[in-house]
Amino acid sequence: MDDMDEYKEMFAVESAEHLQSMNDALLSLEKDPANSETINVMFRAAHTLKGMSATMGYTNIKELTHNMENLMDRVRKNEINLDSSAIDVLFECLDTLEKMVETPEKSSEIDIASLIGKLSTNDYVSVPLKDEQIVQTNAAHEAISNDIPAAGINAPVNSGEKSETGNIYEITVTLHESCMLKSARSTVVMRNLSEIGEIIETVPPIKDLEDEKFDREFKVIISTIEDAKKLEDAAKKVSEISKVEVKSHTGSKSREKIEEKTCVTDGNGSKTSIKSVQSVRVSIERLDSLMNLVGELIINKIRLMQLASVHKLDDLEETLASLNRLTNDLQEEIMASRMVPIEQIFNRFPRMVRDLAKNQEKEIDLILEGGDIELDRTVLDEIGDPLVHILRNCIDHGIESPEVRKQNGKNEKGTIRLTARREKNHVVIEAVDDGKGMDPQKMRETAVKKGLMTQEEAAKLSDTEAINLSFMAGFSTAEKVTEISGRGVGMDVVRTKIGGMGGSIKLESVPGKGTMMRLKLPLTVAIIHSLMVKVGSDIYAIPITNVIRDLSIKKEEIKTIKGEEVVLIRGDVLPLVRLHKLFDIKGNGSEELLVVVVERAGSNVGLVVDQVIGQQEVIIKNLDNNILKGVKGFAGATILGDGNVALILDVGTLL
Amino acid sequence: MFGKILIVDDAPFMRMMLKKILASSGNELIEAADGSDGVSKYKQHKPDLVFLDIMMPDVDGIECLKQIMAHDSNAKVIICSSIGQQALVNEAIRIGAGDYIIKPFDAAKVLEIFYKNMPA
Repeated sequence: MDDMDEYKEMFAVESAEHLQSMNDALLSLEKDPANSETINVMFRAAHTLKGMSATMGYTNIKELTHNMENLMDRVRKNEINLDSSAIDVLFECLDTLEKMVETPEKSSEIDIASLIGKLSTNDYVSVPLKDEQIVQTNAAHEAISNDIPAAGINAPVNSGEKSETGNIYEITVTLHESCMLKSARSTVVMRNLSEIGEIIETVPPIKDLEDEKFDREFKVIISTIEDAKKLEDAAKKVSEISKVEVKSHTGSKSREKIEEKTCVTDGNGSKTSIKSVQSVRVSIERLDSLMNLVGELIINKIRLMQLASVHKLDDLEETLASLNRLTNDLQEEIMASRMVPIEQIFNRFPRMVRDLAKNQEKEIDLILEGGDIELDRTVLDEIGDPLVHILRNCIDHGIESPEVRKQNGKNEKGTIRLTARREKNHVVIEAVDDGKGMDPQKMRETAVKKGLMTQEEAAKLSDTEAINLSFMAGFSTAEKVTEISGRGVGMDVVRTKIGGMGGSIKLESVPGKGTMMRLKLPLTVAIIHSLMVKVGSDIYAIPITNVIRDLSIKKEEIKTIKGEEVVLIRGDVLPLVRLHKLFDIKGNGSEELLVVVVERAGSNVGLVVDQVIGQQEVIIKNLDNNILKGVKGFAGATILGDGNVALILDVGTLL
Repeated sequence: MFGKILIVDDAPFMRMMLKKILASSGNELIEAADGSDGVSKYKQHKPDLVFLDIMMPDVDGIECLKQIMAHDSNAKVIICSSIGQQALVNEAIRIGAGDYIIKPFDAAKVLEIFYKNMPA
């Protein structure tokens, strides 16, 4: 990767963050157009983006953001009022910016003249200064924004920002490669620094420094009346330090602190400034390949352990015990580094719901909860589209129009609540709306009308089963196809997608009251907890999320219905599937059969196997090469400790 | 003008190692074989810098450090520790040790720490 590519990547990621914060700010400005703090956030984000795009030579992005900044500046100075038409224009700008940022090289091809025209028009209502307070608040903000350079632009050393307590510096200390007892080293540095200033914050936090949870580098944010040179000397005095970098601090956190101190914020001034996180960006491919390598390492380790025990090499076994611990730690660390907060996709939704609701003239409140819950990046990528679809369904089919809601004695404003929470080894995401719910009778009728089943079959369905018809391919209850429900995927695709990750989906609905969709997702897809079974001489892995129980039955208990083998378990009919037959392996013909009961599309199926080996965590190797791509029934393969390959069953597509 | 360095360690081998490394600095080197010896030698010689082993029988490094600091709050003490004594090192730093160095000694590092901490 050359330098330019690296810059581009950084630009893409950072501009996306700024766009997101502008989006959030606009949404809250729509409700509270006079919030000066939010206006400032908007202004600063546009300003920063302008600077970034100018550096990169993306003239069109620069032009557009420049004009947005100008508009926000006029708002800030109370020259104009941020009315709904102005907000709409700004939203339009954001959409255009999003497009341009996606492929910045082509940004010059996009015509921004009309947007700029709208932005610079003088049509916006100008506001006379109402009272003294606004002026004061604004003046305070202006003072701040003049004082503090926008994020990303670092002021030169020695011109630290003034605050009541002196200058704020960020000191980056890099320890020498050979440094041992790093935490003690950091303690010495911090003690030396605290003698000449007040330590505001450290990155990582002090607790992590003490626990040695950092690499060679740590940052200290300090407020002091001394100059940068003195700080540098104090830190450099400590041995085993390879580098000390002092710069005046522009990071977000303490800036927020300063702002809090000096600004008169009006009400909800929280969560408005642009988040900038101290982190290194690593591509997901790199993490994938790291994960893969660790997997290989573990497999090799298990082989070594087997060799050690076969050849009775005690010394080797001892060494391997510590290797074992290390590889486990390594694996956990990599897993942890792949986790991202679910916020990342939740953030997209307020804007989407706003647009869709406005489009359909519905009033909808979207409540997001549990955005800090973390999921593996791969899982997160997979659930984005299904969640979009579920939310669209809520808006399209769930929430009624304000008039209908009023007639039914409901609040005119509908509510969609999207919650994420952790449950043991799963993350549960719930989408609940207070709309009209689903009518089982109507579902049955539709199924018959669409030729999916006969009248009699439909009549036999329980209410729950009828509601679950919405997961059937080719089923849609939308009376008219709107712009929204017309495109995208059906609920059947949603279910397949969730199931493919080893998750499950549950639907509950009360007519007139609302609908709840519950997704149960694994934390990661790189490793799955599996039940290992033997069929013939081969070992297979069944994802534990699919397994209900295992049981053993006698051969004579098997009955046949319509040529299919079934067994009665406490009065319930359990269809049996002999994996021998499915995989064309010779059965052992024993009198006693081992059955693993799995859940598939809401009903249970018994898989007949020869031996249940036990539970194990397996690392998934995808079967995504050209030869095996089309093979159904398997979610992937894994390599066992002895080097053999075991296939992982995908219960959803197997039968 | 040369100064004085006090080396407190119960292991003669370690004292010898340090002496060899520090000999080039031209300073006067004083040895102490345990904690209490270290405290009394400190009081007697008023060294400019102390290398203090943290793990010693009876009066250990921490106790010795406490007594030295109590006697002279400006004392410059370098803790010598082996890896894995994180907690003790942290405690020593809290008590007032100026810096620390990990055994086995690396000549370059010992000299680095010496030049950084030895008063001019």
